[in-house]
Amino acid sequence: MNRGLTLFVGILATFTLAWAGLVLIPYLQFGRVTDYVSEETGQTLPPPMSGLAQRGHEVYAAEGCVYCHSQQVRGESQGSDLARGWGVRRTVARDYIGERPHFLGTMRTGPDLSNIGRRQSSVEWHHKHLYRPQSVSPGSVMPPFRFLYSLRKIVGEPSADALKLDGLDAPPPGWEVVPTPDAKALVAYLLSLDRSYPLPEAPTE
Amino acid sequence: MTSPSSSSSPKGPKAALADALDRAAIDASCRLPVLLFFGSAIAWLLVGSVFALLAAIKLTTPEFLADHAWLTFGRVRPAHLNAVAYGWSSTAAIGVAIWLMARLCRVPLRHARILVAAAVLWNLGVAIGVTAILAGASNAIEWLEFPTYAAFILFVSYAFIAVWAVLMFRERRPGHVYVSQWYIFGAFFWFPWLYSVVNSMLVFWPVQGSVQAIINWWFGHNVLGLWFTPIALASTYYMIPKILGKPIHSYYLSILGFWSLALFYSWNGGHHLLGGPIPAWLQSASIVASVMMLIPVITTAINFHMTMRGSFALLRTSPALRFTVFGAMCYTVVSAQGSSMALRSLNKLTHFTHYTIGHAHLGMYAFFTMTMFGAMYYITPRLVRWEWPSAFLIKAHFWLASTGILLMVVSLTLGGLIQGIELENPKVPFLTIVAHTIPWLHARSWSGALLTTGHLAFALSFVLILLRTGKQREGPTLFTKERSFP
Amino acid sequence: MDPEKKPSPERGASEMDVAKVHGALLREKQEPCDGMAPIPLWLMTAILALAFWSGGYLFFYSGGFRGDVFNESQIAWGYAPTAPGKAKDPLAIGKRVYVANCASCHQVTGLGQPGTYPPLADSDYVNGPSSRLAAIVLNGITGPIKVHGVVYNNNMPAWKGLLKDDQIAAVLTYIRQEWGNKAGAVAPEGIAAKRAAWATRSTPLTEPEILAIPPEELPGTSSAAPSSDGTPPGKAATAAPVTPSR
Ligand code: HEC
Repeated sequence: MNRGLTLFVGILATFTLAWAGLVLIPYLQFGRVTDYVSEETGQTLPPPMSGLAQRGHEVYAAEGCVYCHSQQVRGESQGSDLARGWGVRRTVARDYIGERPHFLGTMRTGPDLSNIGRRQSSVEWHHKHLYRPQSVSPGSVMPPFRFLYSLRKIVGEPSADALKLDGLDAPPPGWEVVPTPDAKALVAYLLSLDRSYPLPEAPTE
Repeated sequence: MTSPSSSSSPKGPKAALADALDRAAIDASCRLPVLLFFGSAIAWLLVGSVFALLAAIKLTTPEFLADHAWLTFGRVRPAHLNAVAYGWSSTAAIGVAIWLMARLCRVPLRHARILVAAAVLWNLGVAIGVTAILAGASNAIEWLEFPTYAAFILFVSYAFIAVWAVLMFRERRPGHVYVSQWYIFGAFFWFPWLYSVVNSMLVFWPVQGSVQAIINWWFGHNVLGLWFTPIALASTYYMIPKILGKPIHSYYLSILGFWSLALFYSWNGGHHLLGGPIPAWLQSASIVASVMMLIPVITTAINFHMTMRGSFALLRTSPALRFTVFGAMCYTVVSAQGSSMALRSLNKLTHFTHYTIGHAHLGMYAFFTMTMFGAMYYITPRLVRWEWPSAFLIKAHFWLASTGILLMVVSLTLGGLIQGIELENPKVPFLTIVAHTIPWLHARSWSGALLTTGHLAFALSFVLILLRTGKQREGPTLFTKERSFP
Repeated sequence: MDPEKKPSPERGASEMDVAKVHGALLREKQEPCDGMAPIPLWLMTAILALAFWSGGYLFFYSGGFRGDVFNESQIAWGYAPTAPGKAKDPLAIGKRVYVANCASCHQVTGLGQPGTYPPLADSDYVNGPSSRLAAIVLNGITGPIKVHGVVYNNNMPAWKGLLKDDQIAAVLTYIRQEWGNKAGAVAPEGIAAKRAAWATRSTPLTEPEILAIPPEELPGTSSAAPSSDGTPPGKAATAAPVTPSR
């Protein structure tokens, strides 16, 4: 192999082959699926994300939740995701059509969050958990996200959305802990995560 | 023995001297750009090690430095990955590749200015990118966290390097093109194609979620397979025969190894998504390609092993050879492990666990980084025209790095297996699994401390040789006191 | 840095002071070259074997190369995938509903979590009157609740918006017969009646409110678990599926 040209053509060809196989064909085959309108309920699936949840999606990206949490449920033959209650069916391509960027993840230091909005639908719980995870899950290694909350002096009446914290986390008397807009958006995003609706390619029964 | 007469040119001492003078001219022409790449690589290695330690400690002690948004785990971890992947690994790889290109094209390096500009731009891009991640501007796409502006700077810098490589290859002295050059040539084309295709489909004009995931991991795996691995193999293919003074065992095996790597490695990406929301055929295609990777790996292993045969004693003396061969052996191990992890039955245990992190470090550190250390130990004295000032520092570096990475891989592998087996059993509560991984994560933090100490020893050595400290040595700096380096 | 432009001391052996060439360069071996050993026969054989395996694997586990087949063992060369018919056994459905919705708090073991989520195994609320149990699941709970003398304090969401009558009936039947519990199966029509009764309630219940509900069995509830011969309830269920009376 002494000819630069031979080398170049070979290098180009092998690369192009893989590009066609792993990028182009997938894009043509399932990269343009559209949402599905359920005949039974008339619902658009997956349901479009609210503006607030969309902002929460950005906070999720910035804080790197994806390095500890996956958002994909594997089928019965591949792990115990379903048996653990992380979903009612495996997730499929259509579940992610609105996700930019995708949060499929590769690590489960924490549980899968594909359906967390259904599993844990209490706003209060999520705020408490984000503020200091160990307060609701003793022994957790999830980092606290206290910097998404602000401590402020109560002026007049306490805020309606102040966290109900007790024990270690309770603010000094006369002070309150309130979620920043980022924290509110993040919780709205978490609550929107529910991929348990049936799809033709992924029935739930 | 170091007298010129013992130099092994078959043509006699006169020709040997002429060869040495040619090499001297080549090395002198490489000095500035290569040392610039090496120096910045080592600086990024230290930065990356600090982020790694922070992330490791945070994973066992979540309250550690928890109140600073810039230092939350989810930012420090990608900062570590990008600092070591783009700051250390890529920069070291480019430095080594430039020198190998010049040596193998047998002409002094031209257009050094292009490379100097590329080095400056590259470091600027990495610095901006890492800062952006810490500031919360990350894309949150693994291996591609750099926001558009930083990615763009890297791309421009890379374009300079690719143009330089083509010019250099065209100006080579006619004759045989050695296997190391094929790999470098391939890497220099593959990486910019990949980086631009992937960035445009994920960051500039993002496609739908599942397709993003497959492109993400096509990149994540190719950056190893078509960028870091080829350059490390190029270096190994050069260093082993060069230091031993023997031909490489088989030209045919070299050809088979190169083309099978080019063909199969680029199809591996899908095995990061087994069971995930991509069609079954994509998963199966990647599994098949991952298993077929056994072909280039076994081929290359035979080629290296047969070349080394009869010369293993040299590992006791030569630092460059010892680091390189350590890396080559780990290449075989990590690739075989990778093929096995792609099988569905094993993957369902190891996926999403620390086992995978152990595998990644076996590849990027035990194989790639150790090979780069070996190459730098060989190249730097020739550029600086000074021998390494301290054998002790090199020895400390080797033992800290090798025991450190061993401890890391063993603890993550065992911890990951326990995690995977317990995750398989839905009756084990999640927090119990978390508790069971913690001792292994502590061991990993300690291994990180060993590695970081090793990096400090290496950085110190590097500064000392640049400053030309110590007395001028005649012979090379070796692990053992023997004067007779063959 | 361009060596062509600057007069370089290393050019030309004649004017060259040999000592100036670095020792490392002088003792260096020749540039690497190639040996010509052939490729071993066993390697060729192994490659052929691998290629053969690959072809087979791709044929059998690629779901017909379709974009909408995700399950590798669902071979689909040309025919549309059909989901395998799942049992209509209420215990099996109940288990699926439980695992998907309840297990993250009450755990797969039914033991709950200390201080926050009460156990379901051997709980009086679960084994007791189905009217209260159904009310809890339909409306959710807020605030402290005592089970076996231990207080648990957290929130449970209302499920009436998320689960259908037969799903709630199935999950209640499941929890009343798993982990050693031995209460009777709950029927969908009982849930439907309760749902109508609670239709206007929009906030979760508290413990005093639950205890105020008259203890009665819902219409269609069978009196006890089908097996009292000591076989684990899960097993008994497969042997003798519970058919809710209609
Ligand atoms: C260091 C890894 C780590 C990071 C980073 C992390 N988590 Fe977690 N997370 C965990 C662990 C471990 C658990 C399980 C224990 C617990 O509930 O805290 C968990 C649990 C959770 C749960 C509850 C899941 C359940 O099934 O009950 C939610 C919700 C969650 N995390 C959200 C987030 C969000 C949002 C972020 C980013 C802002 C985040 N996590 C970042 C490790 C992490």
